[in-house]
Amino acid sequence: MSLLQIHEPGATPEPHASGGAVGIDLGTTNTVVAVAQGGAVDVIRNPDGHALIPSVVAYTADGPLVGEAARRMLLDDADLVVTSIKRLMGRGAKDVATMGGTAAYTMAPGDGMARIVVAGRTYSPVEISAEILRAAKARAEHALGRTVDRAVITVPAYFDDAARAATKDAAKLAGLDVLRLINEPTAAALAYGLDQGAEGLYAVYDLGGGTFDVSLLKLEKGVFRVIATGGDAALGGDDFDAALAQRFLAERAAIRGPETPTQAEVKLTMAGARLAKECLSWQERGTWCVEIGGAMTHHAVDQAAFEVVIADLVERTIGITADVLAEARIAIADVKGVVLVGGSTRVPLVRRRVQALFGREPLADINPDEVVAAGAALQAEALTVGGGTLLLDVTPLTLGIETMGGLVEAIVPRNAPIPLARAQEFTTYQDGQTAMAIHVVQGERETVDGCRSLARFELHGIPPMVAGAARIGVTFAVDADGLLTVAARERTTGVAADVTVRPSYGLEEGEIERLLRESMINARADMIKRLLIEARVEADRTLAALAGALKTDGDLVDAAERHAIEDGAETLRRAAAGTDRDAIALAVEELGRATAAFAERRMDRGIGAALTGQSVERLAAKLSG
Amino acid sequence: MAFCATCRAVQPLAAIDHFARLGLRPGFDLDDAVIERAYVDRQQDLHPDRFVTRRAQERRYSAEQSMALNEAFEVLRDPLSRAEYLLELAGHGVDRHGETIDDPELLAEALESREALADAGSPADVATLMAATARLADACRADLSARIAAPDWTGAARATRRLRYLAKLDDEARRRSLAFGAIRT
Amino acid sequence: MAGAVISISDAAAERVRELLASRDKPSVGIRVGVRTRGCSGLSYTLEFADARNQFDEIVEEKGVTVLIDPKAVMFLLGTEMDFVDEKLQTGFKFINPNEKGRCGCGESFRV
Repeated sequence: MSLLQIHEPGATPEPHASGGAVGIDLGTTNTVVAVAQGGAVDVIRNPDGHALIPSVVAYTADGPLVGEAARRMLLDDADLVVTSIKRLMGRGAKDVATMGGTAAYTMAPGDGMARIVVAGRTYSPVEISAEILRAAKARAEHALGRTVDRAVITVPAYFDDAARAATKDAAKLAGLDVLRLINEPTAAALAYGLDQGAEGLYAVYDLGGGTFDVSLLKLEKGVFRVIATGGDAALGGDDFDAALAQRFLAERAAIRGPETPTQAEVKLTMAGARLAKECLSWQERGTWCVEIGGAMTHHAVDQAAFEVVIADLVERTIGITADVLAEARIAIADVKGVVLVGGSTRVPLVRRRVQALFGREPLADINPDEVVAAGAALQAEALTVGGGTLLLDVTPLTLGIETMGGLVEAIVPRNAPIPLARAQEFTTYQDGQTAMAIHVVQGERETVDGCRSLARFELHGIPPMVAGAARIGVTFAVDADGLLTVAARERTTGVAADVTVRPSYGLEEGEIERLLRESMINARADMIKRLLIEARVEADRTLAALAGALKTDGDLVDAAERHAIEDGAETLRRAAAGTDRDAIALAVEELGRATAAFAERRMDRGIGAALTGQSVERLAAKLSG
Repeated sequence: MAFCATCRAVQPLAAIDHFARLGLRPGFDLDDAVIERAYVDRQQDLHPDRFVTRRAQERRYSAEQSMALNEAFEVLRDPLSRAEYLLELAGHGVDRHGETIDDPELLAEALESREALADAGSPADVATLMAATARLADACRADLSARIAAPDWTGAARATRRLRYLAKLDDEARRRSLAFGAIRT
Repeated sequence: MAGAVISISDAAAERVRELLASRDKPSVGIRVGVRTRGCSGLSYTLEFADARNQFDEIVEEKGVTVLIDPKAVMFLLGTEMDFVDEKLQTGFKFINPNEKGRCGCGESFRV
């Protein structure tokens, strides 16, 4: 309980006074943080006005870098860069082997949780996600001018228990207390519903970078009740990129024969395909290039060809959506509106197919990249300050246990409202048996092999009895975060059994505490270091860009101007070699002023030049965009 | 019940039946909207989201209350499980896991309709079958309602078994229809 | 002091004396009150007192003066004020026999 302090007269605080918590959309491609006050959402932006923090981590020699700075490193140091780590959350090493689009990772050997090797060190997806969350937290703290230690974090509705638990662990490592994990489509509906005062049945089609979710919700008097949900936790815009990259590589192979690209080249090809996808969302055609082993090939793609490449992937999402409707016994005519969420819904084919399925124009007036974070922020406010809205969500997948012969007995069906508890009775099959193991799986298949292993629960301390006499009541509880816990009690004696959990793909026992301890010791030093690294990266980028510009357009500056520019560059070089972040920032600014006129003249010259396809430089410009 | 009357603090779970949990009069004839309203109203007050900043004990009570509401809602919103639950409360519980049908009349009907489903060669055939099943289920629910109101528990148990079989038949027909791709666009 | 509205533990008295001594202006004691806030209906207020009010109930024990708001007396009869130094926090605690329930958060109570 909380204890009382003596206050100055009249200054006793109100009970439950609390600072605002933030909402974080921890996405496959981008992460967004937002805060709500009085029902109004503020998506937190950096000084340049960007809300998206690329979910990219670069492990430099000086420490980790997150976001835009890390994404830029894809060009030169792709080996140090990790992207789309969300796809590996809660996954086992074996799962990853069968996943698409993972050629860009070096997996660490081992059976349990998937871990990847970057720059010679092994990292768990939890640690990498924690870096991203730390960056989101830091951005919020900087913008709000106060400590932020509580958050609502969104996860794909179709995330299983292991992936949810991994997300919670990552938040803990990042120093965030998770008020609630909420499902991304539900968060989006919240943002839309509150915005538009909608009532009735709505479908949310959420196609992100790495995950696809579809949810059906009933909105009534401020209550958002999820009726059914479906999806694929390994299907997203990344797969569009991978499919297009495959096409590029196949075209190359047809001309040049077989090649073995390095991992960095694979990452760059994927980045090029991603750029092509984004361009083709608004332009009819373009040419992109792929460079492997120093040889460049050009690949022309138009919208129609791109749509052929991704057609099967899009159809899969449409099929899943139709199944969810059919299973919930909802006629399409009863759906009052369809909400599009996730950056991948910008792809025109996706929009057309969703529109065709529902026979109505989908709603997309809230920025699909920001709507989930906005919903999370609203929920964070509702949870801490209180509010009229309530989210009632469901289990995405059937929870079951392994029975004889590798079969699964369902304990909790999917689409059951949470939180929930189900009791199941077990008995012993040997005289004097004092322990038993329960293997919990999640999935829709009838065999253990077809489902995902969640955990093995071992019950100890069962009183010895003859076989079949013990009646062990096991309660499976799924909390409001969608996380499973198990409790057991022997019914005839009332003895509670000890339950030990061995998650199939979680961090090992004590690992989170160790990582937490390390991060606490290093937190402040890390932050200062990170800011310094970011400043240095910015300095290097500026200097490299300047060198390039002087080389191609050096004739545009006279001797005096060149002298001033070189002075500025030298000051920046010296500052970047030191450890004073402010000095670096100042030097960057000054160099910017010294080169402003030069930059303007270059632009004038550039406008005259014709656009001749997409080159690596344009890719560079886009990536550093 | 779930709250203290004076201070509004959430209370530990009381042992009450699902109808009482939702504040409904026990019975078969309940409107979907009424059940849903009762359920949502109570979740508004008891859901763990309302107790996030409270102490562990109160959070636990809220979770238990919310879980109990969900269970009550799941059981009562479907007429079939509602009937089964009413029978259970009346001491005439039917074994939900017993898959065998011992009513010869029902057995004959089941065999016949299953055969019809197996023979259905087109989405239209399945749709016809589903419509027929829906009509039978409506009639069965009306019968069940009358028997529970009487109360004729033996008759109600028989009608419940029939309704369960009809639900299963509808499920199978639906799956068949999905296999045809009839519901897909 | 038998029959006093509230009693004060040794630890609480010592801590109150320290706090009064370290406050940067003179105090006549501390003031205990009750207000109708919080999820269980009532919550305690605990403040430094700059002056006595006319109807204050006054308890003097162990060198500490406690002024009790007259409206609060009926809710506080028999309460012991204690000071605890726990691992995570230190502060005062009211052990109140009139409390029939306490909000899960411990910040408010009912009688």
